[in-house]
Amino acid sequence: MLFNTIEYILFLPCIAFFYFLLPHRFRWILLLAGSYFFYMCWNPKYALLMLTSTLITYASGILIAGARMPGRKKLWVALSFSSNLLILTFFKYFNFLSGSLQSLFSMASVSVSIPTLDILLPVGISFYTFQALSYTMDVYRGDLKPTRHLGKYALFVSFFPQLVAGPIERSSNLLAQFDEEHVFDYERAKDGFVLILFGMFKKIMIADRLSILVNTVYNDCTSYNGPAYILATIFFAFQIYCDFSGYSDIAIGSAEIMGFRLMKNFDRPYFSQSIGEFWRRWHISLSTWFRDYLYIPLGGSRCSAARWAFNIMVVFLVSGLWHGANWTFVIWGCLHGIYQVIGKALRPAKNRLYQAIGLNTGGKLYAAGSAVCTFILVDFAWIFFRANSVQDAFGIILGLFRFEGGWTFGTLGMQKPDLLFSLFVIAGLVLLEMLQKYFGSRAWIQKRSLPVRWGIYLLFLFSMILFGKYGSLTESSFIYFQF
Amino acid sequence: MKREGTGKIPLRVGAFILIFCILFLGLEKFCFDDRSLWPTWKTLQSKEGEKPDILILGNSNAYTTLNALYLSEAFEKNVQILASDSQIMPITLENYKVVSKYQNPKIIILEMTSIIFNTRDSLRNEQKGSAMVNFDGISNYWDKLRAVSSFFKPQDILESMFQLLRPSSSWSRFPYGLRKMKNERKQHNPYENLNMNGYMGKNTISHFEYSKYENIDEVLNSYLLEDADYFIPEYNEKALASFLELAENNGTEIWLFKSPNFRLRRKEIERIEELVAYSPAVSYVDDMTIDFKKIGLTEEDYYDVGHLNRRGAAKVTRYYADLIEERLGWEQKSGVFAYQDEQAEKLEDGRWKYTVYNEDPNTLYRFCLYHRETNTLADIQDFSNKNDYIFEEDILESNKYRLEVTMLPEDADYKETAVIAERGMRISFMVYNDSVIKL
Repeated sequence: MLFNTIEYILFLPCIAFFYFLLPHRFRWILLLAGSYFFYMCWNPKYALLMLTSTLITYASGILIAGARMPGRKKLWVALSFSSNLLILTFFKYFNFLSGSLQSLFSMASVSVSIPTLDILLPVGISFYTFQALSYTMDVYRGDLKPTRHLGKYALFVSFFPQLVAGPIERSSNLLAQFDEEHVFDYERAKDGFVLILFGMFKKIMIADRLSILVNTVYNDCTSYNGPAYILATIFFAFQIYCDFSGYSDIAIGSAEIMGFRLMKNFDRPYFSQSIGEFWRRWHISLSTWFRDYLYIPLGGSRCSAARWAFNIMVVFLVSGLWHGANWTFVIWGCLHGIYQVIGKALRPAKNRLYQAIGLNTGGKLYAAGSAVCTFILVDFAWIFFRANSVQDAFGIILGLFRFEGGWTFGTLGMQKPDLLFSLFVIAGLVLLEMLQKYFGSRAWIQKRSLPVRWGIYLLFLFSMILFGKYGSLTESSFIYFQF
Repeated sequence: MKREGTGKIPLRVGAFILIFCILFLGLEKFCFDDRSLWPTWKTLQSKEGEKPDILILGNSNAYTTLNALYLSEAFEKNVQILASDSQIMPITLENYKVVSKYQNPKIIILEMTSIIFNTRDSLRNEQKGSAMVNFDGISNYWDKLRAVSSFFKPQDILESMFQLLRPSSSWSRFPYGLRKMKNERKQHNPYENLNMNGYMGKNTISHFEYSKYENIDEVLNSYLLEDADYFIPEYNEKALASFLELAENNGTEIWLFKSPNFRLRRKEIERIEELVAYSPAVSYVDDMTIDFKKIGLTEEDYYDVGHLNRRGAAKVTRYYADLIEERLGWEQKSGVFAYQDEQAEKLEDGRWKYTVYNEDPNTLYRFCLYHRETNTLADIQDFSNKNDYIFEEDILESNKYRLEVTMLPEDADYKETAVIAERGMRISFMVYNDSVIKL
């Protein structure tokens, strides 16, 4: 069940309605049943996988807490991690690994036939696996007492608003909320709906619109010239942002209606002035997960420069791999790691240069320039993220510098009005985000009179209806569903 | 559920939803051409409207074969077509149910391929756009809701009810509304090619040569294949039974005809005959013995093996006019079929030649070319026996030019305007590339 479908628009109010209708002690049952139903709409069989992961991490939490010896605790942690990661690896990376091994053997002229499996990737496996593993670690560290309530723990793993594409919640945040008795609050429900509306707007109006040109151009890495590839790559930057943040908004808004508070997942990432800042604003739930459960255990930044660089590269390599079973994602992750390593190495020299030329690093010009440079670096890396293969990615990169030849609007997949409109909506999005940052536009809207507020909501709604790309024949899933 | 504040909240929510619905319906009305109430639907959904003498139902085989306008003019009766792409019997039945609420045609002519098409699954899935368009002509929302609910899956009902919710690019959602705003509202022309609910003549270029059939005999005689198995889906049989029952209750006569293409086999005909054998409503079933070659049908008259082109349609319509005259005793007005056909042809040098055919070989023709939107005369030729016009310009943009042809009997004094007005037959065509479309 996709968020941008009639089914979800009917499903959510039904769940919310019955949620508040039921006595508090039964509500978790409704949510658990609803969450599994939500997941099983994709593939009923894979709900068993989620259940398996739930049972493993639930049991390991209890066993970890009950173990007296540190060694025994570590054993349960290791078992929990290894079993969950084994499931994840099998379903997500088996064919990638076998294909890579096959290529390796071929390069070494060794004739080996490594089988591949015809497996469907379970939707959201990366997300709920990480969410469940974070619980294991939190219990191990003593940050959290293990829950004895299997049902509520199962709900924590499967909670439908954030199940398939995040935000990756922490047990300390979400698990406790299932014990809270939520009362229907009109203002909160309204805020939730408005957030859902804005998320749908980003997805339907912007992301899916931009995907037309992106898919057309990126599926042909040799025919277009530089301007076309540049345009497609810029479009992809906004497509993935709107797609993913739109999903997160819908998830957060859906949970908010019922009184649950999910973590913020995006914070205007394209306004970042450095790659490091970008990762504090992009997919925050994942980056903080890696920070807390991989980067810091490796030593974080409290080590030598070389070790720090190693830590960063490991984190981003794993992050790249988490995103997908393809070398393109690995290269994408590594690029971000390299950006940060080089950025840190060059920082002293940059500071000296700025001092020498008298550049005010606190000024707006510097901020804008830094943001633009950061965007360029991030966007360049997106080429690998979006390309179908490493070869395609390099084909596109070479194409960036090709200026001969031309294209017509038809060959880009969209006509001139659509293209201009796409640019207009991107500009509109940037403006909206700036208004939110500098003037708190959402709060401003809330303070307006009823007709003004309703006018704005209706404008968003009808913009989507008139200009959005949707419909059951063309509904597109969210990009992050493939992870 | 605890209520916050007073009972104003449900009122507020209700008011917002109401405002949204009003704006939505208004936008739906503004954005979409009320020509979606095609003349046929518009006529049929009014109790005050003229009752159709003959209503032709079916799919593209129906609307590309019989020219209802010719039949109407020939008999000075009201002949209408209500047909849409790939239509199957359940859709035909729903259309008829809506029609019968308002009007009761004397005769319904049903093209038989809608009985055999087993495309319900695709019409509910990848082809649902075609199926949804069929119901767009139903103006009453309750009628429409009943019709779409009977055919589509529950999650598709909203989309089938409202064109605003259809998958499409943003600009295609409101061409009519935009044109209206720019004061370029296109006048509806009942003769113009319509995609449904009216005769839609296929271009006169024939694509027969791209089919697997060698000649027209293979097409027309495909029903004779002994080893051809048949399958009429149960949902079509059930819908046909309900259709006949409704016709019987309404006192409407049903004729079953078959467009002269390949899509019906003998065993299917036999099965259909079985199904309708005991229905008192059915008074004619095409038994496939018509020799279409006798009326001059050739491979050139097919747009593709599934559809006749305009020239072929003119011939078959003339045949059915004779059949109607014979069976119903209606007298055909002379001269209606004098104009026979038009044809577009690309010359070796790349120019386009448009030829108009009249039954009388001694007809005088005059060609006038207009810039269609501004109605400015671009070219005019004198009256002569020359029945073709060659465009000197390059390939034209669509919809840009109107070619007006005036035909006079040879003995008419074409120098006199009054004579031209009195005795001339003037026909306009929209011309572009390989199409000549009668306006």
